[in-house]
Amino acid sequence: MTGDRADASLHDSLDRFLRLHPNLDGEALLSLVQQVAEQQPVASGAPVGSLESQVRQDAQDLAEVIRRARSDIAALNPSAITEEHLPVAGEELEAIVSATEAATHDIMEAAEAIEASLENCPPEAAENISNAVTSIFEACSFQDITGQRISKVVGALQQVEAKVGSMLTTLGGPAGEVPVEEASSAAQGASQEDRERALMNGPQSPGEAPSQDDIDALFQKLG
Amino acid sequence: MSAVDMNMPILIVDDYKTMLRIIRNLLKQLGFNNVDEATDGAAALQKLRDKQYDLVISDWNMEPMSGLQLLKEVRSDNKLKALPFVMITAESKSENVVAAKQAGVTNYIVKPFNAATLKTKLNAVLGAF
Repeated sequence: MTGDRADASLHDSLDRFLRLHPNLDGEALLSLVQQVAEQQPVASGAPVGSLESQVRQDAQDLAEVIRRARSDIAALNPSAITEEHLPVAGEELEAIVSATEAATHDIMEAAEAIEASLENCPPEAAENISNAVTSIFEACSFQDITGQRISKVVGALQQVEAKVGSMLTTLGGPAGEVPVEEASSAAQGASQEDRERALMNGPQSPGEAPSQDDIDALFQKLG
Repeated sequence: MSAVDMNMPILIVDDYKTMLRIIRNLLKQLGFNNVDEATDGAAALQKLRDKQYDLVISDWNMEPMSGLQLLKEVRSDNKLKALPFVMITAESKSENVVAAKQAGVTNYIVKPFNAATLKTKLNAVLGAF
């Protein structure tokens, strides 16, 4: 196996191993791997079997991968991600929701005031204005949709935060506070409530979302 | 003349107050003025048990009780099971429509929607007005 391929393969193996053992002590793992790597053949001078040699080489490579991973994570300054960047991003998104909510409230107040004064207008003008007010009401629904989309982004950020915390715990950094959710076990033991919760995903991306006509067609088809 | 009672009591359910206000205003423009509001399924269910309504218009994605759970509660309640129930939601995946249909939804409107769609669906549910 070439060095690069061996490295990639070891990375994959380590990834899988750490996913299977999220609470593993990274320090202990590194120490164990180093011990294996440094192990001398039992009988000095005895010919070293190719399998034993390969195992020792793999262990040394694995130790190097772990050392490099820890060094990479340290360089990322992960505590700044979990303690500063992600919380700030979440707060900014919540501020967007509050600001759009307040703006929508003001727009609707104004539209309702216009509608309330329509009885003093000539009929033709009243109809035109009423149609325009309807368009304002319809447009204001953007706030609901953007609010739901932003909630999804906040949820994704929380997942990233949890994963970074878990990675820190595994590789010997500061303890992560949020446990990583095991998607597969959730899917296997899903209760009725879990299945219904899985149906609440909020708005789809514009390119993916079906139109009302698509929904109507499906609704008809279902009888 | 319309056979639909424009003074029928209607319950609208959504956890976004802005959306409640939009639906209330659009219903008002269509001529429906007897409109009550609830901000989640549990509060809506209580209102439905306390007072008689002729139509429910509900969002899906709400806590602690979702619109789907509310629909199931309504359909399993002998006094409420025939109540017309329209879902207005951003949940537009086919599995959502199927789940709502299986639970007994009367009609399904996907957000964002417009006044014309609301009128068309209410015509389908209540008859022409």
